[in-house]
Amino acid sequence: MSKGYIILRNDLKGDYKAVFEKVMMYAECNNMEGAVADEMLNNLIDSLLTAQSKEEPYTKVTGADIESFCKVYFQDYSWQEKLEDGMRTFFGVSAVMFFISLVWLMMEPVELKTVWSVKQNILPYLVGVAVAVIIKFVGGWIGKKILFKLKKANSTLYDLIIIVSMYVALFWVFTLFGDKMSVEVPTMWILIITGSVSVTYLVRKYMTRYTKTGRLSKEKSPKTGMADSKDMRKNVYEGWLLRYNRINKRRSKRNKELLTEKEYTNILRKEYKFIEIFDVFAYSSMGIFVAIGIFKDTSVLDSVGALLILLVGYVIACCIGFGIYNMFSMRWFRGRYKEIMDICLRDDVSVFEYLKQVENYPEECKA
Amino acid sequence: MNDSQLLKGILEGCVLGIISQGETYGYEIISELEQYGFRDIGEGTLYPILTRLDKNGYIRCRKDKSPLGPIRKYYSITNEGMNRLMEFSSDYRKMKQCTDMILEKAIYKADSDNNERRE
Repeated sequence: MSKGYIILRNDLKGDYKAVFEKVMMYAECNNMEGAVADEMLNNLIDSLLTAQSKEEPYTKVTGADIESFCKVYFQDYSWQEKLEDGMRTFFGVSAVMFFISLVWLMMEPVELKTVWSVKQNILPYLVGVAVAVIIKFVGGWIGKKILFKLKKANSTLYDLIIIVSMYVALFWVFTLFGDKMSVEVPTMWILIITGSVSVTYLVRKYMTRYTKTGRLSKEKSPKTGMADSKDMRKNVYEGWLLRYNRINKRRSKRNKELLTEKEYTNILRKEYKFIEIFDVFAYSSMGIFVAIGIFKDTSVLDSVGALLILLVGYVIACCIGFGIYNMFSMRWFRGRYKEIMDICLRDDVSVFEYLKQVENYPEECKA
Repeated sequence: MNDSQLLKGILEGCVLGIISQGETYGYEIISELEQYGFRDIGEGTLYPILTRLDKNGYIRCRKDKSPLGPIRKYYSITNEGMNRLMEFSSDYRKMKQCTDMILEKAIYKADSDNNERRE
C-alpha cells in the first residue's frame, strides 16, 4: 500500500486536515508505520475527502472525540504488525551495514588469506540504532501525552523534531565520546551476520507473500494520484495558475509586456528541466561526499561528519523543491510535470490548454 | 442506539446486509447505516468490522483509485458471506422474537405494577 496520503492530505481543508494530522501523528507516536498503518490511513483520507467533497462534517467519519476514535480505529494493529514494522527497520539497517562493510572490505588491499584480519568499528552503527530507538520511543511517549491537548497537530513538524533530535544526539555522543570508544569487529563477521539477517528477512517476506497470494511478485496496486501519469492534482494546477497571475500582475505594475500562457509554459519547462538535472547533481554529490566521509579516514567522528554532509546535502536539495512545490515528496511528480511541458511544446499549446484536454482531469479545474 | 455491546454483533450483520446489495465502500456504508438510523457509526467502528469480515472470507475487497485521489477499498460479498448473512438473519429473527416476548412481558408487568401503585 502506498503512502499517497502524505501528499493527498494537502487536499484536505480546515478541520478535515486537522483531524487527519492528529490521526497520522497518533500512528507515528505509536510506531505504526508499516503497510497496515498505510492502508488504514489511506482508507481514512478517502473517507475524509469524500465527506469534505459532500460538505458533510468530519464527525460523520471520526466522531467528535478524536482520541477515542484513534484508539478504536487502531485497535486491530496488533503487536505482530508492530513486530513486522520493527523487522523491516532492522532489515534496512542490516542491509546498509552489509553494503558498507562489503565496500569497506573491497577497498582494503588485502589478500584472500588475510581477509579475516580486516576489522571495522561498529560503534557508529550500534550507537546510531540505540539513539534512534530511544528518541523514537521518548518522542512517541511525549507526543502521545500532548497530542490530544494540542489544538492542531503537525505530523511533518513532529518528524522533523525527531530527525533533528537524532542528529543532535548522535553529534553530541560522538563529539564527547567518539575518540574514547571503539568496538572493532572483523568485517567478515559483520558481512556474515548482516547478510544472514537480510537473506532471512527476504526469504520470509517472499514465502509469506507466496502463501498469501500464490505469487512471488507484488500484487499490482491501483494507481493513485501520486503515481497515475495521466492524473493531475487540482492544487498543482492552481499553483501554476496562481503564479502565472502573480507574474503578470507584477509585470503590469512595471508596465512590462504580459507573459502569454505559452511563454509561461516554456518557463515552467525550463525550471523542471533544471530541477531534473539538479536532482542528479545533488544526489550524486551527496553520495560522493558520504563516500569521502566514510572512507577517507576510519575514525568515528568522520562517519558522523559524513552523516551530517548527507543531511545538509539533502536539506539543500529539498529546499530547491520546497520553494516551488512546498513538499519534499512532490519530487516524485517532477518527471511527470516536465513530460507535460514537453508535450505542450510539441503540440504548441499552453499547459492550461493541455490540462483541460486531459480526460480525467478534475471537473472543477476545467471550469 | 447507544449500547455498544448490542451494536457490535448486530452491526456486523447489517454491514454484511448492505454489502450484499452491491459493491460499495466505507463512506457509502456509513451513509447507508445513518439513513437507517444508526447514528455515530464512524470509520472507527466500521473499519474493524470490515477487516474482520474480510479476514473471515465473508467479503472480498478490491482496491481502486477513488475519483478524489486515494486508493479506495470496494467491498463485495462472497458465497460464504451470503451464507453467513442468511444465518445471521435467521438467528437475529429468533433472538428478536425471544427478546420481544420477554420485554413485552416485563413492560406489561411494570405497567400493571405502576397502575396498582397509583390506585
